[in-house]
Amino acid sequence: MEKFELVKGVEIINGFKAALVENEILVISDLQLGEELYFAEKGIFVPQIQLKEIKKELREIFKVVSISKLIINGDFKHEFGKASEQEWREVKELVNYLSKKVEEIILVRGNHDNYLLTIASYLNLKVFDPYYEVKGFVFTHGHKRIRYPKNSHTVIIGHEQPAILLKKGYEKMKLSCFLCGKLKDGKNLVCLPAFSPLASGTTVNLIEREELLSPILKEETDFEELKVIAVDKELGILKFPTLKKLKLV
Amino acid sequence: MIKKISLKKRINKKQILDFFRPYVRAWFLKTFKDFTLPQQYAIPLILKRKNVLVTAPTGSGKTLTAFLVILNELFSFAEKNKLEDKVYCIYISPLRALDNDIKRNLEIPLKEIPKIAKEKFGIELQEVRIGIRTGDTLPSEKAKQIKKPPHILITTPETLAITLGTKKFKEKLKDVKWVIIDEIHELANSKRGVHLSLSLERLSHFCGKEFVRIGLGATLEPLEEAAKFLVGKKDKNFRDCYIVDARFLKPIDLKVLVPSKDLIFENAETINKKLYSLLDELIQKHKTTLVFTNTRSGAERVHFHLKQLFPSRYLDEVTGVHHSSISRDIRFEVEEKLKEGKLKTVISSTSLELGIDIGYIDLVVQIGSPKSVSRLMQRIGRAGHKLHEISKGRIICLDRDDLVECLVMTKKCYEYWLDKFHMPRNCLDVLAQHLLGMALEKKWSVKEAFKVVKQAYPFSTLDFKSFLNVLKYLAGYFHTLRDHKVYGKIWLDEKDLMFGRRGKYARVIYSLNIGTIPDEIKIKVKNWENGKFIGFIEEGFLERLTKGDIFVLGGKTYEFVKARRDVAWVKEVKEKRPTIPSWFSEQLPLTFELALEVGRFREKLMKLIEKKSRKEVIRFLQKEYFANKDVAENIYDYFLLELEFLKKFKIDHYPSDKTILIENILEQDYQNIVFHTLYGRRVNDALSRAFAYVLMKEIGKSIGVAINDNGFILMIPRGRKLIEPKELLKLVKSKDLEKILRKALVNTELLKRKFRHVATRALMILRNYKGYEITVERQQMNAERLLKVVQNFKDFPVLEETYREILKDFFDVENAKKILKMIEEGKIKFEILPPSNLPSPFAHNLFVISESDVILMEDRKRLLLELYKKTLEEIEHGKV
Repeated sequence: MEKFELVKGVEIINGFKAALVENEILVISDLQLGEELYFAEKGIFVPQIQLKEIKKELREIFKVVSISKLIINGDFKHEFGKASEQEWREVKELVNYLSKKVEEIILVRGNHDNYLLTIASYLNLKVFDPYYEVKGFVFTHGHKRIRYPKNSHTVIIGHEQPAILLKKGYEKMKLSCFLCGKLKDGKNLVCLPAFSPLASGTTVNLIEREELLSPILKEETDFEELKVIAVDKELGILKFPTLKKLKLV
Repeated sequence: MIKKISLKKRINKKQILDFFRPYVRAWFLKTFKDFTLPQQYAIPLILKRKNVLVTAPTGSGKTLTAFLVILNELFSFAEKNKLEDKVYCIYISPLRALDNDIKRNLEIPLKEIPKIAKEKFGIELQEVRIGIRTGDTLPSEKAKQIKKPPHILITTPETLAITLGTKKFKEKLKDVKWVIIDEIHELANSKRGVHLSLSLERLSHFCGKEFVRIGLGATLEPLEEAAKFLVGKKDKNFRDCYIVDARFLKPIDLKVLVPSKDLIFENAETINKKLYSLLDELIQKHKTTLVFTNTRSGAERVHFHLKQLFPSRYLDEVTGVHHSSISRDIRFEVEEKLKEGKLKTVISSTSLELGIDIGYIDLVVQIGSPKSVSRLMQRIGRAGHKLHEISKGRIICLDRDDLVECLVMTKKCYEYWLDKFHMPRNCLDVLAQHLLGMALEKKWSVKEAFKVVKQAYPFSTLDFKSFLNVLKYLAGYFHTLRDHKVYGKIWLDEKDLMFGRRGKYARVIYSLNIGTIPDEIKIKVKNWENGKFIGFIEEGFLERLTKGDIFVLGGKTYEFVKARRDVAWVKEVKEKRPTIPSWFSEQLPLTFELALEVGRFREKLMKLIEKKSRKEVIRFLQKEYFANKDVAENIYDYFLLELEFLKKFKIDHYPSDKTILIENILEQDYQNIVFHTLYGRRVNDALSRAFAYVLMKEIGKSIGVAINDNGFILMIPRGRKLIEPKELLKLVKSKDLEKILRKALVNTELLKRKFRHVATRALMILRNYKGYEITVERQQMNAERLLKVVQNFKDFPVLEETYREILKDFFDVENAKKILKMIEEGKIKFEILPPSNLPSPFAHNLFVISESDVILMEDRKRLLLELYKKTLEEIEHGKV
């Protein structure tokens, strides 16, 4: 098993798009369940594969780590109209699966989770808004700036769905990646990639600071100084230097 | 039974006239002198209710052939007061402009005949109505047509298909007696035509009886195939059809011209200047000249330069441009001015090829090779409107390969030789549209629907499994295990084998999304530094661009900066290799048959040059190939250069259709293997990608390909050892070709682009849903993401169709296989030149003007690792 510590107390394993905090909490972000239905409603009929792929990756993760707490750091579900029975089915199915694997599931509210509260109470889940904190680790989705609790030392966000593009001549490849480094106030920062297999993501080595989605990344970090750690199912963890250097290639 | 009618037997004009009602006869005699040849032979057949395919040049009275009989019959009903409120005849053409022309032309007899009947014969006739129904028709007009249907309905293939999905208006078609398909040469070779063929079978099934099918066309070959396309099958046999072939009635006067005595050494700028002087001279000598270019941008360029170089002569009042990207109003204005004889010249790409009325043209100029004899005939046929007037055409060539091609083409024109059209078969995306349409009609048994579909010639070989897969796809089976309500546009009962409509949106989806022409949104390209407009790229191309990508547009290289709304911002860069392949070309491919002819010509001329004096060869070209002195000398010099080059290597078999010359050109980073496969781009596309793929597998590196009509290059990154062309040749066998190509296509730009088109046609990506145009979501869920998802499904019809379209319609995999087979049997031989850093003259164009793509390394893991390492290395040692 390949392991790498992004910042103190936050590790990644193999090529998974998840992070392990203090060896006991697993955190994932931006699952965007039901996105296919959203597109279908708009006239683009993408086959439904997300849930299947998400469960597959989770199964692989649970094979190598055993944890008691799982945090979904926002955008559990893709936004769409009213929460009908059918639209929520995937959420329920995944929650059912997860409850068999972990003791506690924590949901942090993201910008897409408009109807989350209704379903969460129904499924007996705890929802935190705007953040969840444990041992100084703050989990917040990242779509808005928040006031951090006292004594917190590490901020973990999602929302941006970072990815990098590698290219040479005609060859091109896009990989999901973690961003890690410091906030301007000295706290550690980790930005998680999207756990959704459908996500296209922000190509961080091709954009300027102004184009970032997350105000936390945009305003609270020295964006170019963040480090890029890419993950890939086949190759595992690929470490890069700072974005500043990457962008010069 | 498909039967060609002999045009030798003279037909008695009086006998034909006797068939007509007296007032129709009187009108005809008042308006025309005599029946034209196609009319003499086709009218008696149509009178006998036979299906007929009439092929004849413009001005031969083809359209009237069909309508004369139909008008006569309609007026005989009218005479007896028996004309009912229903559609008797449907006329279908691929162009709305042509529809308008037809209506206008028919309005004359519709007005004059009743007048003659009344004044001369004292007969009062019921009114015969004519109506247009196309995408332009207003809802109020459509509503009127339901109440008072036109007896003659003029429409387009798309609107006919939509009509079949309506509830009320469709009923008015129940008794249709005649269906006319105009410009069949334009339809039989495209998905639009395939679409129409299914509409006809659906109509026939709906009517429950046969109607007379009349096909009208100009230049196409083979006629038997076109006839089968027109009539389709009934049970196991093709419906009867008679062919009246009067394609070659019009005399032609065709010549190839070159603007320069020396196309090889004179610089491009001078040649260009001379081109416009030559063009101007031709235009000034004639009354009205129609200029054809091969691309829309070419048409714009010619227009611009004529105006710039001769401002006083090419004022807007007397000059026009006409192509499909130009707004309808402007096109219409140009057409009107042409008809009125007000224009001195019009420059067009393809849009004026078809039979719309354009008045008197006395010269057609073609710039560059039109790539097909049929197209050339079609184009020059626009000159000399009357049937026996000479069609005068001039082809201007700017490039040596073009010149050779055009000379061979001219010869073939005089020999009445035409290249064959290719009809797409078993198109699953077109089928998907129709199956949804059928589901709107009623509850179907799968078997019954399969039978109806197979009656259409393009679907006559469809297998049941593919058919059922399309139904499953439409029912949402591939998309989901449960949410059929969202994904299913139809329901399918697999046990009882029945299907029907699902959901309230099915009808709306059908009527708003039907059609086969891919609608790519155009994105403006502008210069980041000065805001100047550069050109257009397609939406799908923009999808592929990321910051820093280098691409080619209009012959220049640009670096992509960023996209904002509908503008792509770029910087001009020089001497950088493109990072995005430039396969987005509007260029037409050279037909296979013609390519073979050019190959034969190459060998023939090489041998002649070797044996005879310059003077003798030039005389031969002048006499046998109708070349003028400049043309003959240009070709002679070009061939002589190649011959001398080959002599240095002691090659004695010259490149031809039977001998493939192979060159091995070494650059610092690349080994370029050049194949002189003169078989047309559709074959070369298939061959080059297959060779590139197997080689990529061998050496584990991505291989670039460059392709044109005359050959292809494999661009191989140099390793320790050079690739031996001889060994390479053994790697692709004819029987494996399709299998290899399917693999080779997996990661290509071509697949992504075509998938996008097919997914739209197959209604997987809607253009319009619940009343609004879908654009934003289309950009979010781009073709690449979609493709990644659907690649998980076996036999997914949308992906299967994408592969089929690329292999069979875009490439010519059948002829590529034939070539490989001939290589295996030793019927085609190779001449391999030793490694060199200088390409032979025949290879020059391949290095300069060609299209490129790349066969990427397939081992994802290895490629990724390599990219990773390179990136880190660059950070460490490079610029950082």
